[in-house]
Amino acid sequence: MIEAIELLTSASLWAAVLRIATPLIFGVLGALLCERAGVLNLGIEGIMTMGAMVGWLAVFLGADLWTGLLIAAASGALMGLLHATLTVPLGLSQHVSGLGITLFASALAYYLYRLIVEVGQTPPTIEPFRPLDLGPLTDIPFLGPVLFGQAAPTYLALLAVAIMAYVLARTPMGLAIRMTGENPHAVEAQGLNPIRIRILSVMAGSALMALGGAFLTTAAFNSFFPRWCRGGAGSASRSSSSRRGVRARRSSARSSSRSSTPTSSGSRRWWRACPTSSS
Amino acid sequence: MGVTGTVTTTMSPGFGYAGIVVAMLAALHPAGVIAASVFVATVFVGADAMSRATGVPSFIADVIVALALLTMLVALLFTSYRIRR
Repeated sequence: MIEAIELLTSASLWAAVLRIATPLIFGVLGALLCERAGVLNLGIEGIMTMGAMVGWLAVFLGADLWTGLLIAAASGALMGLLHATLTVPLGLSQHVSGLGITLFASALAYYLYRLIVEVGQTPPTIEPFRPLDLGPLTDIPFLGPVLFGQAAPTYLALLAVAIMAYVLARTPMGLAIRMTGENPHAVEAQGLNPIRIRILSVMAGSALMALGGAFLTTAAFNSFFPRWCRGGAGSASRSSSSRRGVRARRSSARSSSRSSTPTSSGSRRWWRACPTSSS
Repeated sequence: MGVTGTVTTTMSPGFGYAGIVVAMLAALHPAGVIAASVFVATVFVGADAMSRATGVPSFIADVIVALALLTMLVALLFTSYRIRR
């Protein structure tokens, strides 16, 4: 009991809570934007994985951390464009298309990562965002490390919440986006183009999701794990991560039945050693 | 269970999601399911063998299957249109 209270009142716990909440904030903002524009984006899991891989890879190949985030957002927007093209002008099922995007984007991310990066027993790392040091503010007991000792993208996420709230509720653009979600015919009657609004909203939302993914690899952790284990990307993340297990198991089962198969099981073992928490 | 002989925490292998792909590839027709599942299984098993033989990451299987799903979606849409001359 005492231990539990000590744990709950420790600054490091709440600092970690806010840190791990950041990718969720980005992802949720993106999903919210798509949903408000009337498009269900089930591709969020794959888009976040894509953003995580692309952002990490850009930094790994020598880009600036912020440039990495930007490139990740661009990759997310590209996936969003694919999803929007399938669902909005072509009118395909948003559920199936979204699941297809999830499968496609996460598989492509893992594939490119495997192809480009040389992976040994431990995954290669980058120099991630450092926690900010705001001087006297950080020295405040408890509140200092929790609120003022985070990495810069965390504040970007909190700022993005305010911006999103303002844009959606107070600007003509936000009104158009919300109206597109609720009554596209009214949008058309107003002389606006609901198809264009939906496509752009899904692209912007997907860029935000990819930012959330990129935060995982450039700030919360410092490496990209194929089979991203944590539920960092949300409750849906179990699905795409768990399928790798069978493949690995299947190939290891086969390698035990045959004589020698050097590549598969050995190089994959470190996946199991994914971090369960970053602290 | 029939495949591995054990129960583990990673038991749910994402077959449900593969099932969605198979269903769409079969154009939601019962008879097509056999052909579609054989196709998907061929890609998965083949990717493992290919990855051992040539070092291509076996994730390529997922890429191919997902691409097949998206392509099939669009193709199914196009079958509902007719080209007029």
